[in-house]
Amino acid sequence: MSRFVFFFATVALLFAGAFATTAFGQAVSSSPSVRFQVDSLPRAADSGCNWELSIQVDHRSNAIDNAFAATMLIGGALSPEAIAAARDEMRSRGTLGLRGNIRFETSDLAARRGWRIESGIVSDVRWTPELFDLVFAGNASHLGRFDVLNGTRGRAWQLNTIMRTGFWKNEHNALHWGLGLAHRSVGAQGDISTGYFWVSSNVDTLYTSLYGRSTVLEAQGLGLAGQIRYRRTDPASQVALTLEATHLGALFVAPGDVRVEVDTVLGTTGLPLAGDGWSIESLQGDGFAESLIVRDTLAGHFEALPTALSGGLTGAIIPGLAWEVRATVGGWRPTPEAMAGLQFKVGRRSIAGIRAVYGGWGKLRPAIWAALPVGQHHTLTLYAEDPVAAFQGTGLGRGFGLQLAKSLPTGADNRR
Amino acid sequence: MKQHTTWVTTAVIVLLAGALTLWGCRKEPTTWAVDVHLPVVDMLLDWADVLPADAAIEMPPGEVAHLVWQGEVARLDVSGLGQIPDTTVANDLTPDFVGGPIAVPPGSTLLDEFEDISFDVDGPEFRRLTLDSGLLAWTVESTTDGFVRLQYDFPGVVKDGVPVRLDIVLPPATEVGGLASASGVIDIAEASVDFTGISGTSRNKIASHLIIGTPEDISDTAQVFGDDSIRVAMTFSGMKVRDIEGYFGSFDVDVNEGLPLFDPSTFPSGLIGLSPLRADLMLVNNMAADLRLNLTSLSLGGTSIDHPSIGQDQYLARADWSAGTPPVADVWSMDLLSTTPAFFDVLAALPDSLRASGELEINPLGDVSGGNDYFHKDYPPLLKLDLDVPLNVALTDLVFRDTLRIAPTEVPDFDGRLHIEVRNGFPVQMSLAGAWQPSGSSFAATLEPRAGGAGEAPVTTISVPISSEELAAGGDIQFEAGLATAGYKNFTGHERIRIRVRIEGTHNVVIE
Repeated sequence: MSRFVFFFATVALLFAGAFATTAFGQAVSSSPSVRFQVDSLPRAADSGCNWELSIQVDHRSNAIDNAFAATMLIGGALSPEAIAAARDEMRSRGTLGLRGNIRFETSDLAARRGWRIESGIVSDVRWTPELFDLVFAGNASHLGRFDVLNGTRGRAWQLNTIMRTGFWKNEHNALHWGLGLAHRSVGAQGDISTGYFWVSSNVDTLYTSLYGRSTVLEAQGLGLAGQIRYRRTDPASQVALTLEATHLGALFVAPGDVRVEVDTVLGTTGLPLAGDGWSIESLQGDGFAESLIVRDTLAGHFEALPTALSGGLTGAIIPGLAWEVRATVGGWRPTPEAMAGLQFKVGRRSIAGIRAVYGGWGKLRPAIWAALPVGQHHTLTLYAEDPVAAFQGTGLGRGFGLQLAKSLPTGADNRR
Repeated sequence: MKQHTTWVTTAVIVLLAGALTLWGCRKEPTTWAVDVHLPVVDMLLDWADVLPADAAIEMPPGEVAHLVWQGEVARLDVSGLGQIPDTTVANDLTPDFVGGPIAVPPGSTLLDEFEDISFDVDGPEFRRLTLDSGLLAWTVESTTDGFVRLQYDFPGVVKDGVPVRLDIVLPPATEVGGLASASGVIDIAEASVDFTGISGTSRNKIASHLIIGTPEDISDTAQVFGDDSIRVAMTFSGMKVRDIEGYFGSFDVDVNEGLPLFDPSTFPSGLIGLSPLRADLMLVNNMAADLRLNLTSLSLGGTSIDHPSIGQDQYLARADWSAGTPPVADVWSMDLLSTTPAFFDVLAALPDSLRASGELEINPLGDVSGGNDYFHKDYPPLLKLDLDVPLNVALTDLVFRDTLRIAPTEVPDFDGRLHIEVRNGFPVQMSLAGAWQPSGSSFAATLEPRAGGAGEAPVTTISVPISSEELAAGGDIQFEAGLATAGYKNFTGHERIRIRVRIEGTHNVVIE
């Protein structure tokens, strides 16, 4: 009965999240920061064909709370309090990640071969607090100080991969790999390499400089993608080590994308009313903004995939209870992401876990997950990151995952 | 277990449905308010902004600055010179026999004729001119049963170094309904035109050479009947000259030149006290033709000004163009400091205009140069002023009114103020008042005069409330400035007013 209660509660949480008024971003986001533990579960048998279907959505920020994000997406008025709250959350920079993907993977256990097909979006936005202030609060409170805009950037890809996978294992070691094609259909990216803004305290002088680029990625990108995962179990200590690299490889992007570049410096005590160059008249004239922009068409070039590297340890504490830790870098994360958690058996065949996650795009947050048997040969895994805050306007993101796999969970004490 | 599967299926469907529902949510604008403080305008007004571009302020050390200006105030209208009437010349070639047909083999010449095209110019005898604009329209018609070649040369009309030529081949008329025709237009702007005709000594004539025959390179024998005809018509039109040589004839031009001075709507009242050292009104003859000027009246506003030279014939010799441009011109001048009443006493009361009337005669002594008059449209006879005015000026309750037009500007959801900071570097007290219509915003301020020496210019700040509605409506700012000095004041020429505008307010950002 307990597994039914657990299952129902988890599904109910997902339902509520989907229909919450502030849950708009959920439909387009994902949480790549957590791999389903089912990936590392032993297969139910060493022959036959297993498969997995998973969906992950996640958005996470260190400053933009759910209400703020929903207002930006759905509309409405951003209150000064909401803006101040977001500003207060930021330290040296603001970050926002938005991810979502769907993956289908098969594995022929006898041949030790399989296929992996994945499609999703990956994005990363980061900005300086000063830029946030200028955009959302204005410069009135910044008079007399230099606002630094350097380091602001944003990028988003729609990425598809198809891989041939394989694995090798012996008693204490297992190696999974995949190699295939990667395809980027659309995307966008931009950055401010150099940017300053300053208005004197008596509002009689302005200095601003901006060197930034932006590209709408419409040219198709095609390349090689790979992944590798190694797992070793130490029988003496009952500790398992997992090392993994995903999205290895690069894309060749066809020529044709148009890059817009702005490289402008303006220092002024005010502009003349009229005249050539910068003047009030020319600012209001047609084509002035266009005159600040340089457009060039990019030649064909290579771009690296958003490679992520992670390493984790899992160990038993007592029968039915295990610990886990993992660190992940890359994958466009602005900061490394660390995770620590506990796994425990629920009933005879279900497993649940709680985690503390820190880094990536967000701050310290909890996560829960559960792997539940569905029938004799299938497992349903549900994952929620910061599940309580996900349904509050003050939460700094949401992350949900759902996976259905033809495999069976095993006890937490022998999940190595 | 079946129950589990049902739950899973339901969960997935509901999740997808929920996501799709939210994805399709109505998007209303996202808004937030930003508080903006920015410098907008920083401009200087100095003597250069109120004086003609070619005026100079001379600043002898230790003395009062002088405004020195020798500038053009009017160009005399001699547009009657060099007017070339539109002229059409037609040639109609008919055989001098009856019946036919007579076979005309390829390469035969039917007409080879040099001809002068005369222009009906009454009086002047032009030898050469350069055109600013002009067109040569042509029409050719033939009823001949055979190919006809027409070559029309104008050796005296040279454009881009090449004589203008029309070379056309008409098809047999029987192939095109009994009449073969062609027409076109040649742009002869910038062309140099020799008006001495075929002989090289004629006047008002353009030489032409017309050849009509059958083309050599088409092996077709034309069949010519006695009633066939070949007609050519050429029309010179719209010819405006850039420069012209010859004898211009002798004729009068009415002089009635007015120079606007103080517009009463801009300067409704006040007095300006000036004491010039030099003030000459000059007539400059840039034409290579003699002039006679008889100035019959001179007035400032409604006040007649008398001068010993008024009513007297003044002869100006032709300009010397032998060294090219600018020509060495003869100049006649009138000393405005010896008028009755005193010219600058009348000027002090802000008259609306200076007006001069009289007559100007071209070549009053006839063709004294043997047909070597020359006129260039960029160098007509000029009225100029030569001034040297010490900047020791008294302004008495001078009122200046103007309207500043504000173009509608879309700055949505803005509410704030414009702070206008004025540093008055002139030793002139200014009272400034304005009203923005139709918004109704108004402002008023008094700008204290700079004390003189190296003292700081006094600063006055004017705050004008502005909003999106006012900016979107645009309109006019009508302002009035009152200017006064404490008696005569010396100006250094370095005086300036610095105007800085900053904008402060709240802008409501709207993202659709």
